[in-house]
Amino acid sequence: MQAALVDRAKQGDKEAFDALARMVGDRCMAIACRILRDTDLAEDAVQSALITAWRELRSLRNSDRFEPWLHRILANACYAEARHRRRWSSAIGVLPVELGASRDETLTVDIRDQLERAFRRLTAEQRAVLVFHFYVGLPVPEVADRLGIPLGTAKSRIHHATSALRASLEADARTPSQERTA
Amino acid sequence: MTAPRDPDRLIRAFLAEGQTDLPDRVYDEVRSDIEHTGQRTVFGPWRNSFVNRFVAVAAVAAVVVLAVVIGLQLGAGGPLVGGPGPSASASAPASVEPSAEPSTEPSVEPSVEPSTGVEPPFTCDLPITLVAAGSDFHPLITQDIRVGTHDGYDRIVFEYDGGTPFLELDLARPPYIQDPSGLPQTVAGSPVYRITLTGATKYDTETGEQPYQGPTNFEPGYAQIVQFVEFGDFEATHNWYLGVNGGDCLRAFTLLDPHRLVIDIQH
Repeated sequence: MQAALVDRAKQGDKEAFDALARMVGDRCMAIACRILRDTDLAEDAVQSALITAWRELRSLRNSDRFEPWLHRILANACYAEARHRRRWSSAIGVLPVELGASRDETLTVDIRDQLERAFRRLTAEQRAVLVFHFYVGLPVPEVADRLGIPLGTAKSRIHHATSALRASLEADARTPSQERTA
Repeated sequence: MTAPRDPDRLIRAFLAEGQTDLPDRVYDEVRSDIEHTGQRTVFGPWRNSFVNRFVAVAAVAAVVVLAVVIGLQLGAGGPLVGGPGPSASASAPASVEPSAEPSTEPSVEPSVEPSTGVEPPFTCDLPITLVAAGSDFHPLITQDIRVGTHDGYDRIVFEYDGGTPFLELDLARPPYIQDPSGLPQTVAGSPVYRITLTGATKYDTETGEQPYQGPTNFEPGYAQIVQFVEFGDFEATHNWYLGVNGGDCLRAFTLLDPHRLVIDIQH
């Protein structure tokens, strides 16, 4: 069904593209939100990615590959947003991401804060590989494919990013602070 | 607190939290935007087997027709009908030398061709983005980088083998940071644009080869291009800065056979 909508949208059918956007929009928002850690920036990135996708849709050769293709556009839109507005600079106070209904009770406030701070210190490119690997659930070769980067680069980014996050957790573990439940 | 139980599990739990709904107003804005946004026309892809056959047949037919016409003309011993006809000089670009000095003699470099009439219109609405095409698994290796000047615009051409990378062209403001060193550098000209090519590199890490060995800093003295300089080639992201003379509108598009990514700066 998605491929059929893509084919119609390629012919300039705006209704079909609208339906397509609503089919994939939430998923894109979830990804962008996790890469950018900022709801406003994520909305801007998704909007930019969808408009780019509309404009460039005819260059997509295989209509079945629409979503992976869109995710690559989305990742690039996230990088662009990250470059334009470095709101999460470590020098600036960070705002907590809206947790929504999916709050995990196994995460303590301390662990969540440590991960949040460590995550925001990563580059947008490093955050993207983590999101596609740990959140979307893609194996590393597919992450590399999805983001258009060499496999070695994807492995390297995941290694450095997870090392940084683990280090933050270990640092937290050494802190004699009270463990509070979320 | 004890040591983290399972870091990967905690990272997954951390990433599972957060917003997952795109608000309706974003869909509405997208819908509103595409109402007056055209779709880019794509010529090709030439690697498609059907198109390949079509192009091959068309090319052979064109050569045969041209040979017959020339043969008839030579056999008649007279000049070609309608004057000299299409020739290399008639279609050659004005100048394409990537040198420090403006070229004084016309060059016949075939890949920095002037306008063919199928380019998109110039736009002052930035950023300009082009979606990557053709390479799903590996970064594209830069085969050539050229600059040229033509009547009404200066042109930058990146040539690749197998596709074109994702392009973002946007206005840049100082400091202009070199990637990955993080060191600020200067760029001559104003305004300055940043050109980011994602999924492209000069270095082929699989073969260890670097097909493009040419300049990475162009100061050609053209009407618009003051300086066009590489700022980074790292992790399959190729960054350039473009300093221009006053600046006007730009356009970016791709050409095929060979794969080229073209940026024009209007005079």
